Amino acid sequence: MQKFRNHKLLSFLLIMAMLLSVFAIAGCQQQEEPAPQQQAGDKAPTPEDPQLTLATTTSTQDSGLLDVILPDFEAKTGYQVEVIAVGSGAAMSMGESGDADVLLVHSRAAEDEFIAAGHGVDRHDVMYNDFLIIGPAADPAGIKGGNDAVAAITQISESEAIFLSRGDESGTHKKELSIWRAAGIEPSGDWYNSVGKGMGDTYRMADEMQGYTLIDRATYLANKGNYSLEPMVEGDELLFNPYGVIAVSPEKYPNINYEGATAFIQWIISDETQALIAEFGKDQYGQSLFIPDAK
Amino acid sequence: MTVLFKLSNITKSYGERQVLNAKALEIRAGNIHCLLGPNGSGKTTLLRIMSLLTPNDGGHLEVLGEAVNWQPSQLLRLRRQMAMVTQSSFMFEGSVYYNVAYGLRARKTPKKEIQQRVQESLELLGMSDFIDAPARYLSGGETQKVAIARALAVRPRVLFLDEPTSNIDPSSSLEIEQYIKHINQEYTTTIVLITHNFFQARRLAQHTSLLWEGHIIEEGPTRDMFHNPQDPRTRRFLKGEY
Amino acid sequence: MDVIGQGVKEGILLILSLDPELIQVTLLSLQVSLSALLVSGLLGIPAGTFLALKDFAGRKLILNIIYTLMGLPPVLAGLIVFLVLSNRGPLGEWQLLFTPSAMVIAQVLLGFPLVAGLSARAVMSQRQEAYDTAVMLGATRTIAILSIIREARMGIIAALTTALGRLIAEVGAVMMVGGNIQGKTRVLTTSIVLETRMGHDSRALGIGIILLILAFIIMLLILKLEKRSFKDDSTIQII
Repeated sequence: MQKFRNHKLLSFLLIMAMLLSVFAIAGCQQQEEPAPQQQAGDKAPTPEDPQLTLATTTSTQDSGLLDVILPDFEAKTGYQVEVIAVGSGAAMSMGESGDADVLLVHSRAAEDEFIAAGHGVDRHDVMYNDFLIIGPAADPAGIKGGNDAVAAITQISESEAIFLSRGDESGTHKKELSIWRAAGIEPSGDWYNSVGKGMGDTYRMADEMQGYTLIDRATYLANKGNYSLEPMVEGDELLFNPYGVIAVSPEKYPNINYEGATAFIQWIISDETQALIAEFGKDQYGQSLFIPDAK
Repeated sequence: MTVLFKLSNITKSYGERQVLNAKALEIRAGNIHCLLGPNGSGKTTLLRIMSLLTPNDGGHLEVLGEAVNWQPSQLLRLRRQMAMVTQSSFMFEGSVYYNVAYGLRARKTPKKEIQQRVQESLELLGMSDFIDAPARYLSGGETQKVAIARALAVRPRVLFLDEPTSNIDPSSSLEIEQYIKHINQEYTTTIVLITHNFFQARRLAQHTSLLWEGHIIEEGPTRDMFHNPQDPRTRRFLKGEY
Repeated sequence: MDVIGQGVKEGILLILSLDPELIQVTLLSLQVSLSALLVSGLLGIPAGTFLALKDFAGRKLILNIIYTLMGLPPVLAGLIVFLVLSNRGPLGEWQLLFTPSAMVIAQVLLGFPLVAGLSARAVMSQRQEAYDTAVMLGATRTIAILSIIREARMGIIAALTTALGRLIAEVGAVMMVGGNIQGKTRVLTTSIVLETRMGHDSRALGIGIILLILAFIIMLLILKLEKRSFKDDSTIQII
């Protein structure tokens, strides 16, 4: 009898678990339904092909920038933007295969190659965010307050102060390597810690180890309340991370939404949108996360 | 003759059930003393108390001239003068040699002497050929012979045998009985034998105590008990009614 | 699905190349997990034996806690050790975070319950006769207990191999307290995570193969060390 009752209990639990899963999935689907676009109103023009695919990097999506500025674009032009947030490299290969209409990416050298190869047209600068070198308040390398990244890392290397590298071939890691290259230093030794982790984890480790590291401003601002590291060097052009917008070549893929891409480019480099970008983040962090630089 | 074990009013209960209530028992040196009785009569409990494996609840227990206080040092000292063979003897994982040498190693006997004594003991039981065999792979009869050799190797004053032959075939059984007799005579080892087989008791023991539901109901020279039992229950037991 | 074939090929090439960095990573993996196993064994076998043999108030509770901790998620073990060793934690002054020592500590947290729990089970499965036989042959209590441990050694070896398997394959705890620092605290498992994140799937798979081979070699060595016991313990024949 005991055994039989156990079976009943087990079946009951299984059924409950299945029901819960069904509700959970249903709940998720509801959340995924797009909210109605109220701003669109009556005045919004109706484009021939309102579907526009934007391939961009995770940073624009994760920082919340797109959520803030895209509704303005959709309201003004009537386009529906489908955002695909991936790495810069992956975003560009989507453009290369005609799976996206317009790209918003940050990898200057690769962007130029992309244009040269005929995959894209109409490249424009949009904005940049920047990196900064942060480090312990004690500042054993004596670099605080400077604005020369090369000089700073040279001093870090010479004083063999603890430095943490992302070491994961990410954009930030590549940026760091380019600074070392500019300084003509091959970093190695006990003080140089290649941790192979994401930015958040690297920040946490650097704080524990009281070491220097290169960090993007958005991650720094979002987490600085939890940690004791202070900004050391910022403002060097080497530390900038420029974002460009590119339309995918209509000659190569005649059926892509080139009209929509052009509208997007015109909108994002417009003074009004640039002002929106400049405002973004100020209310939360007291400073801009992205600095507009469209000419 | 010296009294090796002196028990008076020894009781033992498991929960509500009293399994032993032995009013008086003396075991004298040099004898084969048999504790006879049907299954469940308290023989093994009595043996475990005498061999200091199970503490008694009440009564007075004297072992090898000492009142037992159950202190570890006393237990060790007294047990080192005893040895035991049970119904299906436990063999340690390892060779026959490992097992027979166990008690000598525990006594820190020099290695040379261990080797010699193990040889001797196995030879006496006719088990020399098995010295390197894994002990867990012996037959029932072989296991019991190795167990007796293992007990013998430590030259005990007292040897407890708890149904030593009840799990083996009749011919091995008789063979082992011969060894038991031999050990008793050659080494003047006192043997306390538990059995439910009264023929075995008659063949081996000079002295027998009959246990019945935890009580010792009859005690005396084996011959007398078999020829002239006093208690009606003894008579019925000997007729094979239990 | 060429990645798998490529990974196997790359794994073999990696081993043949004797890449010094990879050798260092492999040796550190071994060093950390074997040290943790040693400590877990030195603490866990006596603890398990004690719990199996000694009856005292709270024994059941402690056993149940240990059985529960046998399934401790590595990340949680890592987090606990991280918080304790962090600069803000109670043992921050020791400056152990992001060192191999911290990784060993975290792995002991995983290995100890496993060794203690399984050793307790192995010792508990021994019969009363083993102890009785030992003491009736004149063994002191200590020697008798050692004999019981010896009788339970198959189970204890199983406990150790299980623990080693868990430790060497574990990534959550060493990642968190070791920090995956190249040349210092990077081990095979954290390398696999990193290579996967960087999209080097076949290299990750290759390192995985090294890990598997390593586990295999360790098991072979342990089996060889205890060959006698295993030979005695012949398999059950099913007809």
